[in-house]
Amino acid sequence: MSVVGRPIARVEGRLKVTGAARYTADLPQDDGKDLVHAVAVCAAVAKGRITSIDARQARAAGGVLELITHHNAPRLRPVPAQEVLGPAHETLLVLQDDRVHYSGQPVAVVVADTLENATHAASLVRVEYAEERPVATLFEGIDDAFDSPRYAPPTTIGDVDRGLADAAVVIDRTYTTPAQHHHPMETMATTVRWTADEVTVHVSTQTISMVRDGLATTFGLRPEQVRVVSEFLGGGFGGKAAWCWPSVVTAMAARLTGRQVRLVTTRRQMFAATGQRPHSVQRVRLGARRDGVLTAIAQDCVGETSAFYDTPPFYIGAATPVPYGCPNIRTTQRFVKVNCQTPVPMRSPVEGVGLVSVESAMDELAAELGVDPLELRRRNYAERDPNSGLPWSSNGLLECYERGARRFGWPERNPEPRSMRDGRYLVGWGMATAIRHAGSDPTSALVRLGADGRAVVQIGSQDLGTGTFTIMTQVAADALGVPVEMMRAELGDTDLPTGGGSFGSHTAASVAAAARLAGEALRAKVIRIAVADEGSPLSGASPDDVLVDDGYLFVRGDRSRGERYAQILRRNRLQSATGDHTPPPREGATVARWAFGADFTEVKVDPELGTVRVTRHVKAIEAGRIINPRTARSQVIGGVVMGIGQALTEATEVDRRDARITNAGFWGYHVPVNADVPDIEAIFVERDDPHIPGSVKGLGEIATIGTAPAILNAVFHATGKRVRDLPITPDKLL
Amino acid sequence: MESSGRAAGGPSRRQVLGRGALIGAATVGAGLAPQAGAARAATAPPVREETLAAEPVEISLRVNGRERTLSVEPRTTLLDALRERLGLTGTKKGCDQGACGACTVLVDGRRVNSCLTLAVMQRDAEITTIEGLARGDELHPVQRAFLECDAFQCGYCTSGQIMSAVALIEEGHAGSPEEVREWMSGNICRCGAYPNIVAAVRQAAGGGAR
Ligand code: FES
Ligand code: FES
Repeated sequence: MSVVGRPIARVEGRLKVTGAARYTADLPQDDGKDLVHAVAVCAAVAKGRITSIDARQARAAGGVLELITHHNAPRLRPVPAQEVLGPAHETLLVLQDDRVHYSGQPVAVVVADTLENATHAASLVRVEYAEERPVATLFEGIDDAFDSPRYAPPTTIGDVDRGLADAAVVIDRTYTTPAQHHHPMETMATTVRWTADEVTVHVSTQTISMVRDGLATTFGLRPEQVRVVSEFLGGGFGGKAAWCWPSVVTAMAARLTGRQVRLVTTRRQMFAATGQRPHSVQRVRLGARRDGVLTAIAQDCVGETSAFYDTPPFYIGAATPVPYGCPNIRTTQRFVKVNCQTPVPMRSPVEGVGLVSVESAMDELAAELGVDPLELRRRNYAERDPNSGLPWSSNGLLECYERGARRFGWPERNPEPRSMRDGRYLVGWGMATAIRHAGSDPTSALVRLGADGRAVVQIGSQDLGTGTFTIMTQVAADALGVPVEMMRAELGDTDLPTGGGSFGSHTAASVAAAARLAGEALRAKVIRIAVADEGSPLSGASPDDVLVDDGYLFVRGDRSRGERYAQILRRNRLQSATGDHTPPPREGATVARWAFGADFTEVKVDPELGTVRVTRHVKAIEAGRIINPRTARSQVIGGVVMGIGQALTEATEVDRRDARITNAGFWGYHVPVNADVPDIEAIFVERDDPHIPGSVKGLGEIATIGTAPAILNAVFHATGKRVRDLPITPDKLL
Repeated sequence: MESSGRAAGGPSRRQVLGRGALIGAATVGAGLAPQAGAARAATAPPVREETLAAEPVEISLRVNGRERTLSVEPRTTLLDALRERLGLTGTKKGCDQGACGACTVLVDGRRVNSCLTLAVMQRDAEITTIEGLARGDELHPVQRAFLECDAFQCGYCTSGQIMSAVALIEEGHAGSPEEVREWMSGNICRCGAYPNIVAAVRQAAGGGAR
């Protein structure tokens, strides 16, 4: 019986509830004797030069083995942008010169025998700076905003000026979204052992192959000399997807000391170790006829980028042309250099940020026209992808609208703002559309089968916690035709067949496709062996006539003529086969592949205090076929929770004088806690998609896209007040 | 989102610091503000490094029913002692600042953020970590409920969530979903498994999944 599509429990779940799952900072267990600890000293100014580093006290402190600064650090080579995600080139040439570009940049690394000694010695390093005036925020530098035709070329469809001129109603609004941080519960951890033959790196990363290639390039090694392992990850959300300094400095420390070195960034350092979602300003203009049909969409964004790195991180308006059928669309983006770390992806860097303004503006348009917000979206449903002009590979958006609305009770909504109450609370209902590009990466899998009938599937991918271990197991078990208990998954090691990065909602699609190909190849291989094996009841049968069920191979039409995998394997050697998934090329595509969703949310606002609580949330998603409804549901719930934080509580605050982050901890950067989160319902609208292997479109990002704008719109409905500056903290409602 | 030990009322790291000022200086300097330590030299507080080097002391801790002898420095937190000295890495460090609950363990049955207490303070206490919950192969009911309700994704906060849940049920705070939400709010889950965590706690407490 097929296990794909069934809600089986996480295969690694037992390890997690017993504390036995080993995350990077939990390793090594066996020869911990050799392990020493590194602690980074981070810049206290945001711009300037280091004039002196007094390390005498630190060096004299107990247990100190090494102290690395730009004076004695190994020289690094720049890593080209195509090798890594996020900051590349000279930006990660850490500890190479005296320049400081952002507060929190590493300026020294102390290595000592114990964590306590390293931490203490780090506190004794005295650094003096010749400070320069930093650009602290986007607004400060906005007059110098620049275009990037290479990375963020404007998109132009039709004639927007004309579309606006022809419109009966024009909405022209500006929204701002703050810098936000990923904050996986596991901070960035790295352990490196550097010997003459091999560099072994245990690291919390969403892409082991990128860390291998990046370290090899920057230290002038061959990729084969570097092995990167990341078995259990304590979340990532994009923050462990990019190339970042902790792995680089840990490798330096291991090379200089000859010891196995571990560096675990502190929570505070996480505000400047793995990048952030960039602060943005988004001006949106919507033109529409009286009946709500859009005549123009124009979006002009400005986003922050770091002061020392020209490659703009993301074109946040890149997906703006996609959700609605409109003949005239234009998006532009400019960038401002700010003394901050280079921004990196955070759970949908494009749609999750750029559609906040579009979806809020749609709500404003609906209010202006007196049209129901859901109806307005239906009227603007795009029959094909407006951006590429291509037909959809599949599109369940209308069904998401319908099923989500029904489940939520949307038709009951009184359109009048401030019209719904629950005692003293103002009640608001809001909704938004979600879209997310569906893609995958080249991925290889290996499936092996032993004489005990047990099999293993191996892919050099990663499991962020989203369920990769589990879905690999399910798909490979099905493809081979064995019970799921007989299949084991291995991932997170560059010694395994190469997988892609765990980001961009690509993992499930990539891993499932490769695991299926490998499982099917192995099944075919064993069948060929069996039919040629005189000792087998299958001997002489046509391979096409051999079926497999629950590890039992038999001839079509005669279940009694067959035997188990284990029996065949006992007479033969261990068997294995590989499968290689190659994603359909983007160039010359004949269809547009997207996942779709609709968020419906209810908020209750205290009119005296301005506090907003989300009290229920329904999210309908069409992401093709769902491999495991149980892990998928958890992923969607988690995405909605992150959207609640994005809308209501999360903002990285910077002090304007010194450009230092002022709320660098969970005490000041508020991620949602249990009491902030209501019942959340996930509805899966399933679709077969002939253009996507396994019909798997990916969930990681669509899970969170749409949630924040739905909440913004619900707050307007509750209060009559339109907040256009995220997050909606109580002060903005009073 | 403060500490999950709100019901605790036991000694905090700060109180201990008051009693032992010399060790205290080391802990504050080392543990809380490594970044500030590197601040502009002119404004940095004077550090009396002579007083900071505290010699390791031999202590014994009762962890999961076993007496364990180990050598720790007076400034070593219970969390680091468990993880780095005793190899009990099931207890996690999420912030080292008492703000996330990932490090929650039971000290004499009360939930405590182990990053906020020093190992030397717990010599007479009975400490339970995630590794001490199951009896052999048989999971504790809270562990089983977390598995069955899929109350986690990455699992990094899970040890702390489970330890908190065990104590919370004992405290009698699992009476309703609302109560569980409130009393579990010292344990952050960035994967956002909260609704499933509430269901798991209710199930383990015998209150039904919802
Ligand atoms: S509360 Fe102790 S590690 Fe966060
Ligand atoms: S399960 Fe990942 S932080 Fe809770």
